[in-house]
Amino acid sequence: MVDALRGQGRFHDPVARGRAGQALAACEAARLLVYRAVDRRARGSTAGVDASLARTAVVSAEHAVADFAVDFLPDTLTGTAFALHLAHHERAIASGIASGAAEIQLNLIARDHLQLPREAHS
Amino acid sequence: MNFEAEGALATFQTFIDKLAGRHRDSWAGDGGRCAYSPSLDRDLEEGGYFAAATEAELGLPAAVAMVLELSRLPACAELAASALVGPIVCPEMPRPLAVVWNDRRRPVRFLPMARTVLAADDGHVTVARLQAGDVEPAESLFAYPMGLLRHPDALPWQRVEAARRNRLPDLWRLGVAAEITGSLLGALACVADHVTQRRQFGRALGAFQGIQHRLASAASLIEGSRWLVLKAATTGAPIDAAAAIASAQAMARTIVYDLHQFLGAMGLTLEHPLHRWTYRVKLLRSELGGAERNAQALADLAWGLAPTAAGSELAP
Repeated sequence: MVDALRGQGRFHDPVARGRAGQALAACEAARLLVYRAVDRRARGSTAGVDASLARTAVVSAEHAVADFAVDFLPDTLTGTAFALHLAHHERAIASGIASGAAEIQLNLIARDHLQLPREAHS
Repeated sequence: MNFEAEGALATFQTFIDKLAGRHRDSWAGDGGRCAYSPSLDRDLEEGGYFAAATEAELGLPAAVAMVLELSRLPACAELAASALVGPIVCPEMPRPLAVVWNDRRRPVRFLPMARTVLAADDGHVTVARLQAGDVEPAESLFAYPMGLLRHPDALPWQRVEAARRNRLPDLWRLGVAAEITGSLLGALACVADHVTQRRQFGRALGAFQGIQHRLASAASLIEGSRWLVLKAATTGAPIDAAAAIASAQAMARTIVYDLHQFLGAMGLTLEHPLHRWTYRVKLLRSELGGAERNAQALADLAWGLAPTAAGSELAP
């Protein structure tokens, strides 16, 4: 996406650069949390709540990147010239649903990472 | 990157954990906005902890781990500058160290107890020893001891050589990111405890999903920032330091709001220690131009544009 913007001579826009930087930071944070969960598994432990922390971060990062395209490269989401942009957008909008809804991950983080009390049922 | 501390680093972290445990309850709820801890500062100084960054077996990962852990305490000491900047940029100068960017007449944290002030402006880095009477303490909303230089032009400034000064922006990005992340870790734990104990409408506040989800989102953001900080300390790469500070500053606004919200009216008082963390973070949000400028700096580094963000004028 940055290459596409640069190709159009629009990446000097500080707003676009700032949003690209924010999305990149979100991706890097998610990447490290995923590696952390994998590392736990590789050491023989269950990934446990580390997987939920990673999944939550991945959803945020996916949307940061997808929103970057929507805000700065909307024309690339029409037609077939930018297949990767389209593929990413379709994956990103499902990222909070697939493999366990994001809200379920938040429940698990609340319970297992923050040790918050379970919701009382009547 | 190793996700588990081993060897000398693991041992160092054990000592830091014990030190933090001794100071965990020393927040001194005296109603003041700031709780500076001379005893924590003394323990760190006498224990030689500030030398970690330049120890071959420890280095920046140990120094950053120390800043992360001790920033979780409600009381504060001058950490990031002495742990990261002092040993590398101006090792000959005494600590505590106050760091001021761009305008020497600004209020600066830790100036009231600093023995050295470091100034980065006009493409230069200079340091000056401080004497009694050089600093005017300043009242502030922020939970740091704040002060102003009385006569900045009259101080005996000395230039820092280029090889050392060029490391300052990345070290400071790393230190600020570590302090924000550690402070938010401490604040989140404090609020999680409150919503577990406090009951309303027949159940603990923390049992409400609306509260759980926002605190869980905060936890995910903070954990992501923590690993970005640790990675940046491990690689020493400018792009990783930029990612760490951009992430930390960006998450601060939403998380600080939520943490105060879930404390209800208690979160508006000075009686509860929450403000000791959040009003440090509120000051750190603006360091080196703030989240948006540091995100631009990250983009510049990632995609090869000429740097334009605050601090970049010191880059080689």
